[in-house]
Amino acid sequence: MLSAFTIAGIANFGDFKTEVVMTYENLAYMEEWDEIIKKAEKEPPDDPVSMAALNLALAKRRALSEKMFHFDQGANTLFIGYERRGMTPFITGEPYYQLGLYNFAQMFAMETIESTPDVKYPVRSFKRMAETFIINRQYDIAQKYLQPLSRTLFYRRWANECISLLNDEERINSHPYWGEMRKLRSKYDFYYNYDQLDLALRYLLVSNPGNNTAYEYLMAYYLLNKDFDHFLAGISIARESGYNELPLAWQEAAAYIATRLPQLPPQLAGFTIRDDVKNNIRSYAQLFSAEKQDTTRIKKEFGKTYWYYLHFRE
Amino acid sequence: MKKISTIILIMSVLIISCQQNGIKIEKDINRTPSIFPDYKDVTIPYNIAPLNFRVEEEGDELHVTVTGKGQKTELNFRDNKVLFREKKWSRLLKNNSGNDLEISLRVRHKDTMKVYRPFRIHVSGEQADDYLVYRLIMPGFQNWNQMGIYQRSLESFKEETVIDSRVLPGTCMNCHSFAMNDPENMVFHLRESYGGTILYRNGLLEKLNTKAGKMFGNAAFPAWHPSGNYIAFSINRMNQIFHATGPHRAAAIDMQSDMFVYDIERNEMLTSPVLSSGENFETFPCFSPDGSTLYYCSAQAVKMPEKFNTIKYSLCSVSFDQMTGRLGEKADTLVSGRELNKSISIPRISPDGRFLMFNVSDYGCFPAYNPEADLWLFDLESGDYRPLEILNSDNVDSWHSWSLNSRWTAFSSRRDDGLYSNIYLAFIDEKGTAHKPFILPQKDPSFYDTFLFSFNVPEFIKSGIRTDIYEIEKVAKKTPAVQVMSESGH
Repeated sequence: MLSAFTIAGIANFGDFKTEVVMTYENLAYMEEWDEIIKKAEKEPPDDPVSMAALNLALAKRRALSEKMFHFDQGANTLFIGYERRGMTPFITGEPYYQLGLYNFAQMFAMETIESTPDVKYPVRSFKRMAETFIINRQYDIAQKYLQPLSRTLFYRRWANECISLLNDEERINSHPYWGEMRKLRSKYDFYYNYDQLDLALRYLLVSNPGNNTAYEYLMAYYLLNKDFDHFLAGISIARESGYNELPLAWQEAAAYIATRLPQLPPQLAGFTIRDDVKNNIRSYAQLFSAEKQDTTRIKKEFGKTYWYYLHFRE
Repeated sequence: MKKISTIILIMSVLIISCQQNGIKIEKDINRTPSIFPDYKDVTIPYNIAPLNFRVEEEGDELHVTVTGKGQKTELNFRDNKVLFREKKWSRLLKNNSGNDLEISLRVRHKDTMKVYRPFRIHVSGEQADDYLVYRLIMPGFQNWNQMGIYQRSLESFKEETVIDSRVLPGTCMNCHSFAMNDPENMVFHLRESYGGTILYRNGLLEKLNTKAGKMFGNAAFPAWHPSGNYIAFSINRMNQIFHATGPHRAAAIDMQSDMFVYDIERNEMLTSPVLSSGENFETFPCFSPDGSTLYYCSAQAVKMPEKFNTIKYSLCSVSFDQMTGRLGEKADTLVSGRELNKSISIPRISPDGRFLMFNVSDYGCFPAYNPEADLWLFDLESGDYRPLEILNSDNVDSWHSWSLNSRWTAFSSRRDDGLYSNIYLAFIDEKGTAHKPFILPQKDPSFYDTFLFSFNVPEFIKSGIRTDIYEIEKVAKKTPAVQVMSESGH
């Protein structure tokens, strides 16, 4: 009887959507990129927080440009916007941190602390504050956030290890984690502007052409914003960024561009578009330009293509 | 051989004489102990709370000797914190007003006792005001959840809430200001939820809607006229920008600003072309203690936000007739920002009318985000001005206020870690010479290591604020705001 009531109670009152969101947030925080992708492939997410986690995971695995349109993308699924009302989700700053935009990551960690109900000092935001201050060589403030963490059960060891590194530039720079994170920083200063985050990504790439996550984000940003001029400009550094073949989403965009121009743009020269992509865009074009457009069929057959996003999303 | 024997004999005598109960005593440490907060050689008012401190030397026991005028006090502590009892400390300071206290420290670590060179604390015969009022807020960006305005008794560690976000959730509260350090004349603003300006005057509380006539916004930075009959306000359209790299995390940009003088009796906002010119930004008003001059900062308007880091504010003044509320027609420039190649903000005049303390930064008018922001002093008698080197640090030093007797300043500084603002106090003598500043003492010397709020806008007041938090809450929430009118042309 009790079990029946429990099951009924959970079924009726359980907030499963929030649980899904929190799971994605936690997995992103733990940097469990493969787990995120696995979970999304099993049941595609449909909320902005989970999508931001998924896109980050795909970029970290260099699969964003290949698989991003297998999922329900929107113009704001790479970065979560700045909300002055309500609690700032933990994940808001995560893409900035993983990309190397540490000041912005710090800003959102502080906003999460500030906006947490009753100011209960979320430990992961404290950790993020400490991390960004260590990367920025602001050790006195890092210490302020590390001290409380050093008195917790689960973060004690990590915090004490960080405290032992503070002010030791040589050890931090040669550290396998901190050294690599520092390399991602932009060499140029600019200002936070949610509406022009492509500029931030370009600064990151100019500072460090090896920042592959930034490159994947930049190209995804152009595709989501349907900005083909900048997308083509981005293609021109594909080879030096290690892309000898265009990933699927780029191929689909390139195939579409090719249909709109009399000549193939020079940036695409030397890259081949796969035959199946060429065949698919022909089929898509037929359905799209049919006298009586069957959107249900288009979605069913081409819902996981860039073309569908281009014509039917936002 | 005889020489060696003599040396051995002397060494043995020395070793024996320097050991007590098996403890080796090291007397030749030619330095003062390292302590936090740094209270060494500071000048303090005789009505300040105990300067408890932490000794940052390795040790298991502390032996402290405080020597004052005809008085020696011995204190022993088991850990590294020196904690004075409030009543004893208060007596000690009053007995030594105008004299020095000598603090000697012996620190035992295992079987060694280190004897450090003593340091001094100068107890001034000049009293500081009884209370400090400040805002506590996390050093965030745009969000806030918890903040408040508090009053702290300087003589003790007692802090009381004036107003906070527990009673006014979702409300930003700022810019508390008093007429000549008098808590009976207080003003501060509420933004967002329950927005309005709270005016407390002669025991009456009211809420104002200060956006009158053609004003482009609500009243912002206030400055009371010494008579308590007027309040000058700037009206600012502020934006924030956030840097991608480096320690300069943000900048506040004044996109547009003007100034108005609020005539409290008439409930009118008075203005003048001098203070509301389209070609210039005007901000940070400050009345002279005789009430005849209004000081403020002004800069030629530039394209914002593009040129935000080139704008240089000057220190200006304009005459003010307190009988009619009329402002002069011509402004004077006392210090030109362009000529100084710096930007001036927050002018504050000592109540004796002798000195004007102001902030100097590389650009702009919101020094809280400019690490180079320093405090300067303008001698209104001689016209000379200079940086107050001893008060300034490598980080932001700003938002200063004067005690009623003009001998103490309280200011906020980010010197301790670069992010959190703490309050520092300093003695300024009658010649304008500043003495070494010291941090607002707290009961636990480790308080600042873990406290996660910034102290904003420290303001001295001569006695405690009488109005109750719940009275303010009632007025903020339930009383309709009084609409301030624009000038009727009297």
